[in-house]
Amino acid sequence: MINRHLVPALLLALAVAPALAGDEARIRKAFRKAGPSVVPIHYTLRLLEAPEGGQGNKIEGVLCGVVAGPDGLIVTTADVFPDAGGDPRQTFMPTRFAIKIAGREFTARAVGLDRDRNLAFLKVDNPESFPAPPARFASRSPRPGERILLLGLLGELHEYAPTFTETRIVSSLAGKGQRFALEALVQDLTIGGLAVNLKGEGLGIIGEDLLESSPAGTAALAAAGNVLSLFSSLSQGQRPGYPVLFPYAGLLDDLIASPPALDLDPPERRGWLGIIMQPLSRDLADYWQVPGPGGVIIGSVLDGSPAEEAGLQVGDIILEVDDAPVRVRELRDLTRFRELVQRVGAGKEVPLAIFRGGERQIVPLTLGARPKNVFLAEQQEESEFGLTVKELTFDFVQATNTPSDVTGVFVAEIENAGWADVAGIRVNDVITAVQGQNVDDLQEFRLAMEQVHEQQPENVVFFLRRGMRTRFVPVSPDW
Amino acid sequence: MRRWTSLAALATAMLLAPAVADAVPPHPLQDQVFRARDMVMPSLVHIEPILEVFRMGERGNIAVTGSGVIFSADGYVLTNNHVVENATRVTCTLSDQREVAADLVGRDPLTDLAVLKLREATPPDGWPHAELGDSDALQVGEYVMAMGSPLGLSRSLSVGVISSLNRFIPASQMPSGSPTGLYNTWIQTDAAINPGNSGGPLVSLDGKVIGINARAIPIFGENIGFAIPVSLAREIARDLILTGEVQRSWVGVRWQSTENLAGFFDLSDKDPQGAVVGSITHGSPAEEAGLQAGDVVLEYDGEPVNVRFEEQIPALEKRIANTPVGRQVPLLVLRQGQHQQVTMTTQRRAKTEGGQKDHPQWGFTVREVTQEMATSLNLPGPGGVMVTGVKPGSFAAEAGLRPGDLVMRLENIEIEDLAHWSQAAQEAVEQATNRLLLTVKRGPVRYFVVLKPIYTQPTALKAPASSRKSS
Repeated sequence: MINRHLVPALLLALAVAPALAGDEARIRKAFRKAGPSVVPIHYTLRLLEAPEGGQGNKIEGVLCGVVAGPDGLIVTTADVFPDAGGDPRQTFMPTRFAIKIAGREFTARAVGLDRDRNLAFLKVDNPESFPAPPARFASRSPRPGERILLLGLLGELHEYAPTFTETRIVSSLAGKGQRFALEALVQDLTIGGLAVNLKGEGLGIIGEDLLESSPAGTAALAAAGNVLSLFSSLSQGQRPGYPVLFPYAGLLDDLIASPPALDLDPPERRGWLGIIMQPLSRDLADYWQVPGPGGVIIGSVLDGSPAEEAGLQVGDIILEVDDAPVRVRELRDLTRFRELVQRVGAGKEVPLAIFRGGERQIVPLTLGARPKNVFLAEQQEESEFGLTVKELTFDFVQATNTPSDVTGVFVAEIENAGWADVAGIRVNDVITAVQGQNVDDLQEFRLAMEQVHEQQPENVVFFLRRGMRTRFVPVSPDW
Repeated sequence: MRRWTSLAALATAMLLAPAVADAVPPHPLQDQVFRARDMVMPSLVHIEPILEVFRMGERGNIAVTGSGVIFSADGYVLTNNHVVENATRVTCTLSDQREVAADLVGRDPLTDLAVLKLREATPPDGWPHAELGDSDALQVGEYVMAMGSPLGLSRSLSVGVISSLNRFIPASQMPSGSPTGLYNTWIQTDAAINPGNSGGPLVSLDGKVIGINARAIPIFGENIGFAIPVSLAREIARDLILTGEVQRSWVGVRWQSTENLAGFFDLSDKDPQGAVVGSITHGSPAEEAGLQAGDVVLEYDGEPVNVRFEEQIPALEKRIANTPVGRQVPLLVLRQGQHQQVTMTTQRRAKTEGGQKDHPQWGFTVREVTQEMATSLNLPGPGGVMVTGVKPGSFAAEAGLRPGDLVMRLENIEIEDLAHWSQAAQEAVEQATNRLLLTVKRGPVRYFVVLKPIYTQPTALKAPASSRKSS
């Protein structure tokens, strides 16, 4: 009796064991191969507009990232980057990135941002000595049912040691066709990490689907770039709803082939309107009796933007772009509208159907290219002063409510206890003159600072603007 | 033997000596403290106002405690503005523990001072009152006493010294949105000052009031308290009693000291004169006079100006404030190395406090936009009202209204000011309008918010949220 059952069981075990052992070995191998490409990114966020008299709130945190190129290119989620146009008193802006590996620290800077795919691109400042190997990416897309590994990191207690979760793709989501739902819930420090197949080939960067109506996702969008609310959900440990994997194998290949990552968001090709938007909610549509499936209310028209040139006004409602109806009812739909505009492309003339003063009108408009934003803005570091400035960008001007006639450079970074800090210069101050010489842009700032370095005056006087007020700040560097 | 006896007697005398000293105190400091106490303590007042507060989108009341001092026989009381600001009722407890109601004579948020008057008939020989002294002749190290109600503990006295005079603290903001502390430097003392001491007197050893206690650093510091010099308090009290307000001139300049800027502006290193114009408010008299940031003002109204250190800024601000409104003031200005004459016409300083209003049916509170707020927030003009709080779960919260939103319009009504808003809002509530469009400015962006309130039959008013604190 015993024997009769034992034999098939033994046979079964013999048949399954190597398969199981082989599976384990594959997972081990895949983890060993791809794990070192997943790195912890330590970041610092600061309030875009510090409270009067305060030092400015600071948030520090750690994010998971994937080394994607031999030149120190790192891909992560765009969660820490606020949308332009949020309330500057509640908008946190990343001011510093550093990757820590084996006790060494490698500073990095943001080089690209893809808001729609929620991806950010960083570059390590000294790639020669950067030890983490770039990930290799698979050549084909994953399929539902496929088993994959999510490579992420353990928490601070465990010094961000690499870890993984084994899971399965349960759905390929409609729409852009490049998003996948997973079986497992995703831990905090897996967001921004790497999804690999059992060969250890990268399939994409792990993110969460902000567009789905998970409470966390909606909150993050509703706050229009308010990173705080996003972090309150981060701290809960697990994300509700389906986490989503974004495979970017093809995209990343392109990127690695043609750095820098500025190409990601090719400004010369993507269309841009230059407006701040509010969705036409059902309540507002009912109130104004606006027909159609939705629309976009213009809340602000940026100076010099295509929208301004076409004569669009605050309060206009965009109903159609290029004869396609604008189906925007809620904040989360705005991404769809942005994509539509970007897809149409810069330089293209499109008819816009708008609703103004109770009537429908057609306004022809030539889409422009999106100008540089603060992340891509050129910068200048003045190490003697402990000061880094950037050129004024449209989103900085917008977010800080800087009057449009102000020219200069803005303070992007201040070294703690550096001379600029000691003298009282703060992040987001706009420097408009150096030693009595007006500096209208970064080039003029550089020229003025060259003179300062030659002459080495005891006090270098910066004239700056903070909010609506101006002041002279003498800085005494240690020449 | 005789020698021994006398030694014993001496020893006995030495042992007895302290006891003898106790019985007859030859201690001048203790004497002076007692005397000063007796001169001021009878005029000390414990104040318990009920304040109206707006928070989390609702209006409520809080009971606070503060201090004050009677300084005239007819019953005028000096205290801090922040003790009685938005008070709906003020009760004073005198040193003999009698409770007397008081009327508000006037408040001045810019100096954080206020004057009350005891409502009861003046006693035949007058109210006990303290003498206001001279704060210009004080010295660091001088003994002082703080009297008042720290944490509500009435009739308390603490002793210390003046730790520092002429302490500069940058102007800060009152809960009402008004700046305060622009016109004075502070007397710093280590005589214990705690919340509740606010408005009480700082007293010299000769029994005169030399300051009004106003600030403590209760969290990080110990024995660091600040008092408003009585010379300023006397002036403000006089104005408040005469006219109920303090009228000031304003020119719209933010001043900077010449420290570390002398070389840059071609001023003498050893004795830099003048004050640097750091910032000019748009639409101000300074702008109209053609003054520019970077000008160094050497003379104001024929008198030299000297702001070498920031401690000297409040005195200049005060000099300007005391200039008659509408006066054409000649200025001597150094601009790019050249002396120039500029004439500037002073303007009356606009009120700095914004009134507030609650909307319980909708679930939010608003504040008036003062000229000062409009300028500092880069608003196009003083129109609209500012949302100060949104009650969680209310109709306003549901509609997405946020604190900091500037309400520009209600339906089609362009809001001019708080009174205009209040009237429009009241009409909407009376008509039970259940769909209201608010047009707001959020930073530089315009947003539209649809309020969908449901009006219920008015029920018995709930008691407002109450709490107690010390000022």
